[in-house]
Amino acid sequence: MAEQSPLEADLLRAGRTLDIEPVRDALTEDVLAAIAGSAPAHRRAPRWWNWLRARRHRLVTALIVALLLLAALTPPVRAAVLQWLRIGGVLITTGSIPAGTNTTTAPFPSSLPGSRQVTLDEVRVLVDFPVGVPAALGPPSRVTLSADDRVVGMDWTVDGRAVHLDQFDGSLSYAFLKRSWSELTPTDVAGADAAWLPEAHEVAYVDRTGIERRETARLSGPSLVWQPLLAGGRTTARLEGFDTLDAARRVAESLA
Amino acid sequence: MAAALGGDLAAYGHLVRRHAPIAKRMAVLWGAADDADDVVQEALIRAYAALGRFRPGEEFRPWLLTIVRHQTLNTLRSRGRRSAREAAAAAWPVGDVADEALDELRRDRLLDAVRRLPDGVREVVVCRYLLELSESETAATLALRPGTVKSRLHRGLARLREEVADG
Repeated sequence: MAEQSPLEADLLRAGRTLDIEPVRDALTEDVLAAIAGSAPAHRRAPRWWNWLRARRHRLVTALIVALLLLAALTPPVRAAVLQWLRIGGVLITTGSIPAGTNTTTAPFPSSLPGSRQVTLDEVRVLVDFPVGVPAALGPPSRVTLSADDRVVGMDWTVDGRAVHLDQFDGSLSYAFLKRSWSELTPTDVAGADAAWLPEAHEVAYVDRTGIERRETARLSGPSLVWQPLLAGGRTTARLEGFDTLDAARRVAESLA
Repeated sequence: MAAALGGDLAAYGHLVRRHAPIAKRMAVLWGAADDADDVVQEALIRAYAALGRFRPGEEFRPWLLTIVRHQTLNTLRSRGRRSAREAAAAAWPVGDVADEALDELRRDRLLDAVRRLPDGVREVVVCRYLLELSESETAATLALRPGTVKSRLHRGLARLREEVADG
């Protein structure tokens, strides 16, 4: 808030003294159970479908049935849910990878095209958000900064495997789009919301103006997205290169 | 298909965990009292069923809170008019004041004054300061134009200033 009057400040303070019990522990489970038990409205067989079924002997061909069934099962739910799934500056969305994109050729570790190599000290001066290093991994072998000075990348080699960490200020707009994933595990890192994508998926960079840069799209391995709290500022981080959530979380929680 | 639905549920579970606290806060502030958990649960189930009506690009929080508000009002209505009025008039649960900048007396007087504001103004003030929504989230939650939110906030603050100043 830009200008806050003493009265507004008191209202906020008064609101924070409200003593509202947290929702009961099982609420999330109950909600999901209710949802899983009753299919969402659009997936229930519509009346006309039942009507057709009752008269299926009159139907001219089985082809019509097949086509109608297909239409009835198209799931917009997944699209709608994922529309909102944003962890800081990473939007985890659904949808197939646009045609004509080769997402497998980008080498890993991969920094954004046009990014330059810098030192840790340099990068901390060049960007205006706190940049952390996971104590569990020690100093990175390489630090890069995207051409627009927005995303800090770090690389390590752990047990012969490449590990990559991106950090940026995700508070204003999102910078990465994750797509074409099949599984997602909601989790937390040091108390903050996080999401773990255990399987390969596409990751693409979205520039400051909100345009998705298809040339940056590549296939990411399992990755963890979270919002670390560093020196009072909340940034967004994505860690790639670990196969298990436990391993990734351990590293994520050591970010300081 | 099964995998897609599994992904849905995981994602939705994430949203539920994240937004249940503010949903409950709203239900309590709107008078749901002991029914607040049930209201929140029902609202979240309804929200899922209504996903088809969600417009891409919309914010989830105000969209959900709109449903929570309706659900709370429906619950109050089903309790009967009298008990609904009593519930809405009942004091909000407050804890200790840890902040030296605000004493308990002023806090109580302030919250009392907020509760006595006319419905339209009160809802805007509660969204903005007690749920700490932005002006645009407040507008989306209550289905009001941003200009209306601004003018009602202005009116509400003026009224509160009068009420807590004297005495």
